[in-house]
Amino acid sequence: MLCRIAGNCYWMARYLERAENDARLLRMAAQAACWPEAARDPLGMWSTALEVGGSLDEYLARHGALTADGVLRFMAIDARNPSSIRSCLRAARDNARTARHLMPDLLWDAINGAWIEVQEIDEERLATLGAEGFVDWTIARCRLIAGCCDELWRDTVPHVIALGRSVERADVIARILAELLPKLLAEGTAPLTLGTPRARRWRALLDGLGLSDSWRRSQRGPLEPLSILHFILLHPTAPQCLLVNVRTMAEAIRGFAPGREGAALQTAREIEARLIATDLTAATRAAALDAFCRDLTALTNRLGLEVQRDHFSA
Amino acid sequence: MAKQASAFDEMGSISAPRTVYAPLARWLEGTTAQRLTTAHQDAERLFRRRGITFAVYGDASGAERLIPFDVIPRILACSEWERVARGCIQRVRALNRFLDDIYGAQEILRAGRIPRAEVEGNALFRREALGLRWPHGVHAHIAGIDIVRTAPDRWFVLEDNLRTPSGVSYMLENRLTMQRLFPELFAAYRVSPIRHYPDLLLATLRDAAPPGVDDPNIVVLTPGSLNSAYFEHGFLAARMGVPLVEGPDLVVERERVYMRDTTGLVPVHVIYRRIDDDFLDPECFRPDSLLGVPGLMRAVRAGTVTLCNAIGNGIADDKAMYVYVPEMIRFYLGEEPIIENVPTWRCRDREQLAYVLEHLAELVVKEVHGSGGYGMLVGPAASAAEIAAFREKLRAHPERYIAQPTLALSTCPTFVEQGIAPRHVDLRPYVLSGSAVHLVPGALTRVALRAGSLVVNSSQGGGTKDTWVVED
Repeated sequence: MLCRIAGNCYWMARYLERAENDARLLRMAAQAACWPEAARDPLGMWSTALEVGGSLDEYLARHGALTADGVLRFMAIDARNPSSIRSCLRAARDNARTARHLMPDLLWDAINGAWIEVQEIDEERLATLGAEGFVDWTIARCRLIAGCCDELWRDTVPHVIALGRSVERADVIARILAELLPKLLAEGTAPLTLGTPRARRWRALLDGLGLSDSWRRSQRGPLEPLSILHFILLHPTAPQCLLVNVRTMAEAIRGFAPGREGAALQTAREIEARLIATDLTAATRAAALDAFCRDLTALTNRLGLEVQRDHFSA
Repeated sequence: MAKQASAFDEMGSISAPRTVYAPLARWLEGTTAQRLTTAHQDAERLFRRRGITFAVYGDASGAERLIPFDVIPRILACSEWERVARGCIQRVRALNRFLDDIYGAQEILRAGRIPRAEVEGNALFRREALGLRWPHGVHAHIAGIDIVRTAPDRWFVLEDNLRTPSGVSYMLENRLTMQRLFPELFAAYRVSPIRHYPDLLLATLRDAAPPGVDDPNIVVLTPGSLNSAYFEHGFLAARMGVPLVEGPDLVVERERVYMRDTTGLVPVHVIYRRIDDDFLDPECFRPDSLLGVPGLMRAVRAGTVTLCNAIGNGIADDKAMYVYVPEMIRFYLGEEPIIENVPTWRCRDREQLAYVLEHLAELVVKEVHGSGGYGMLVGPAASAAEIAAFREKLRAHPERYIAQPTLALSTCPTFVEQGIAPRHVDLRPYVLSGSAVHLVPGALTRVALRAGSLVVNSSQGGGTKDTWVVED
């Protein structure tokens, strides 16, 4: 497979994963806005959602004051915001177009259809859909595309797509943790009392990652911050947890570049080794935690660059 | 109909609302009927897509139906809720003590506070449950208490549901739906969240583990996908992250319960069962039951598994025993009831029957063992012929009936075809009993959608509303 096309498929997958992750952040913010404590800080989670995406400054520069509707529009359908869901779907579609000849018609239809439909969602339509309605739409479209990928030949393309998704996923986990954890851990790691604002904030972390329900399948006991973190980072089978995605990275690289011991593969192994060696209790001490999230982000970025250099631009 | 005019409306009116309803009234004034209609349609679409449907027994078509959902929330101030919550906790504590006593030492009978014949002669008294010990003495782990209101500070318990009360999934889904439809209303109030109910339920079920089991395996036992509450069974299993099983998935070996897993037999320690007593174990109860688990009761007796709720709870939520609940509260807790009972005439008593027969046109008459709003007479709404027919039933089998005054149930603004109009409501909080007794700040409100109707049951055309407990 051509390096250029492989690279485009990789970016298509990253943008689709990013659209879905953004949608979950919107849901987290919309739900937090219904909490009673939101009366004190009605925009708290909306600004957190922007910060995770690294676009708070851009939003403020363009719009001045934060409003819930403003953030929703900016993150959902703003064509000028390069990380809006609309922009992600466009970038995914543009990348997919270069590989269209490798794709079953259904897959291309699903990707192109999502781009066509999102352009039809204007401010008025978005207001009617509401945050949750738009999130539903986005996730349904992304999942449809993911399902259509089943029809791809089991050669290079599925591995490249798996790599793109897992790198993006690892990246968003690192960024959400970096943003939310310092505040959460400042309140300590004592077990959570059901129904309290502190328990809700931890649940929001899981919501932001789309992990609320699958978390319950693995943790039956009382809610404890460290067990939630352990789940997010180290659960071996939940598809949206970090360890699974880190392992997918290595498998995917081996899949599309068999026999090549490139830098990216080494980095994937290094991330896994660091992750497994992480002492969660120590990591949750503020400084150690900060370093851990920085490392995770840096390593994921490095892996992205290495893949690009070694595999997609030879 | 005359009753309705005097009913207490919880909002007051849109122009002069009670304080807690003021933001809602303002919002309703600024909201078009078109928006409410669209929201109502969106809600129905959501419910249908999520499969939040129920089957109506006796409906030959077998179609799955939606319980009508009203888009206008019912609102209770924290201070109002607090009393309801305390009253429910008190009642459920007493009822659990009663069940533990009645199947144990029977002190309340020996003290003569309840006639022995009323208990032991009752078809719902289960001799199979005599002497069984349940962790923490809890028999009703999950209880639904049906409450009605007739004035700002007058609440009555209409009935206790201690067997397999359903509807809690509606409480939770109604909230999610409202958050989607009207986020701006949540910004106008500080609504207490209820999302943690499944976590609380899971903690309650863990508390029920047999002695010595620290990390119990819990399952939800459903009669299957044809059951009217099947959606709820799957919903709760998913939210708790535990398996949803049917009878044939379980097997009893050497007095222990296992589930048939791909990895082999996996032990089960706590069963949240949504199957009636009669069908639980063909060895012990109905031999023709295909829904149950042969030998289950042997495991229960051996103390290796806990059923939630316990067996034999029907004796305590039966309408004949209902009249004694205030006495149970005094006897076991030494307290006065926080929420009153509705005055009740027991037709098995000759004098009380005579009064009932004379006043049928004013009373509500219910079957002692009935539920779901089936087989009842609402005197003021009934025709002369219906009353005459019921009179014959009463004379033939007076012991099967109780009668109560027709209460002017409170009303709440409801969006119906004619616009926004008052409709009668009740309230069902869900009380969870483990090592402690809990409820989430919220409940299921059922609403009688027909003008003037007092029957809120979903099987009789009732709907539901999201119920908000708001910080004052």
